[in-house]
Amino acid sequence: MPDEQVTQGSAGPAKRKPKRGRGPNAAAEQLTVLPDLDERERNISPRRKAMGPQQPPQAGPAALANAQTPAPDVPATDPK
Amino acid sequence: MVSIFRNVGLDNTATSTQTSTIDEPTVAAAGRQIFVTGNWFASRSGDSGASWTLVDPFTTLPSAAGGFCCDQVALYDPGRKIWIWILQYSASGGGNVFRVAVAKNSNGPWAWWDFAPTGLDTHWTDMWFDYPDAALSSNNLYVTFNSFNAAGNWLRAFAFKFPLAQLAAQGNLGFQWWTTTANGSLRLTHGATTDMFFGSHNAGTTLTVYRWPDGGGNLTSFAVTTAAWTAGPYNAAGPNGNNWLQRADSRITGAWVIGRRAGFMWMASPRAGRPRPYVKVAIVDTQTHAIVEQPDVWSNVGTWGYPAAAPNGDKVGVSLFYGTSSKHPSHVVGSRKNNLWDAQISATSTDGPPTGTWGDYLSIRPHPSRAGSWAASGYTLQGGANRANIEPRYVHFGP
Repeated sequence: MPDEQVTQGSAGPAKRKPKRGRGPNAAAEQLTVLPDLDERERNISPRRKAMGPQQPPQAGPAALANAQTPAPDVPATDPK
Repeated sequence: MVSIFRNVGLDNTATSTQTSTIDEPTVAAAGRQIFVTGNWFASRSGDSGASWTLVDPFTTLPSAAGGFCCDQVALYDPGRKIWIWILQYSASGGGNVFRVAVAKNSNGPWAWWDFAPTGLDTHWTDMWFDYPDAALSSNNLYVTFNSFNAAGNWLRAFAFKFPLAQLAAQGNLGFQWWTTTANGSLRLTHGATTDMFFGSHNAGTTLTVYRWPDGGGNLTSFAVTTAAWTAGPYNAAGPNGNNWLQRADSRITGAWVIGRRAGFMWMASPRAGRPRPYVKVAIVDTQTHAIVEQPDVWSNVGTWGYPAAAPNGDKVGVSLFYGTSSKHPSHVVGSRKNNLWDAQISATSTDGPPTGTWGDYLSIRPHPSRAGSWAASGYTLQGGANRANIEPRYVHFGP
């Protein structure tokens, strides 16, 4: 496959949290309203969001008929 | 037999019960310090896990975009002795940001940089980042994300490369980025040195492996074809019938590189010779582009899922889940020795997730303070099936 070109970016200087009691900016810290996590949990989909454009092999007679067992083929030790 | 040196559940004080059944815990460790993240908490220990202090991701750092959302990743770079904390924020006005925060101590203070889609391309106003992965090479931090629009449609995947020296200096940060619509859910290899490798599925049994030179230059890629496998349906009903793989899919969740061999792990559904959902493994020679091994993690009686992987020396360690019809989802750590997977349960859930929500990822890193050992994150349900019953877990173990 051909090379995939990358792009340069700049994020500028790092940000830091102002120290408390050091001038007028100290009072400007943003207050955060905590969300209702129970509501968030209820709204979680039982299905994941799409993982991309891939079309992985779906279970079905054709896929199973082509199944091969690669060697070595040793099951993992069931954990204790 | 795997040797477990430390196996600690994070209690309600550690997490302030800001936990989810999709907990996605990650861990960074160095010396006696441990930093664990998950949905929707972070917590640190300065005494090898004997005590923990909540590091609230909602309030420890200033808010951004629509406020702190969910996904996080923690890493420690032993080369520069820095702690790295990646946080995903909620979308607001169509876009969100992810944050890369850095500290010299797991207790902070943190310095950070935010990255928005519109900071990469001003046209990307209806795009938000989701599902991060992060790994280190010799000199860089690599981060990947998927992106979606407000309607929830997948748009493209991103990979970022941040110089560790600049992160450590906490000054101006230059970086490189790359994006694709050909592959998604890009999974970075742990253990990378002079090249970062990452993988993603294509149609059928084709797996694309990308190489990003650490020293500079553009990406290259090659495709390999694995043995047959199938992507779902995933059924891992536990004792109460709850299917903890209801949310599963076949994206790669574990990847590592040792020398010229890169390994990739994902969840596959039953087929001939694999009676239960299992972890499909493909190990690729990055020079010849041939698949050299496919040592699946599978069982005749149990189901394996959500694998994370990291090398240490010439061995690969794993952190993943295991369950049977009589055993609720259990967190397991293990490694591969003499071509066999050896694993041990760190904790077993007392309940199964009633809505099938579980995952989406775990983590494992080499522990820099004890040669040949790993730090792993996991979680289980303890004493109930509510999100507040989720107990994240830190495990320090060796082969």
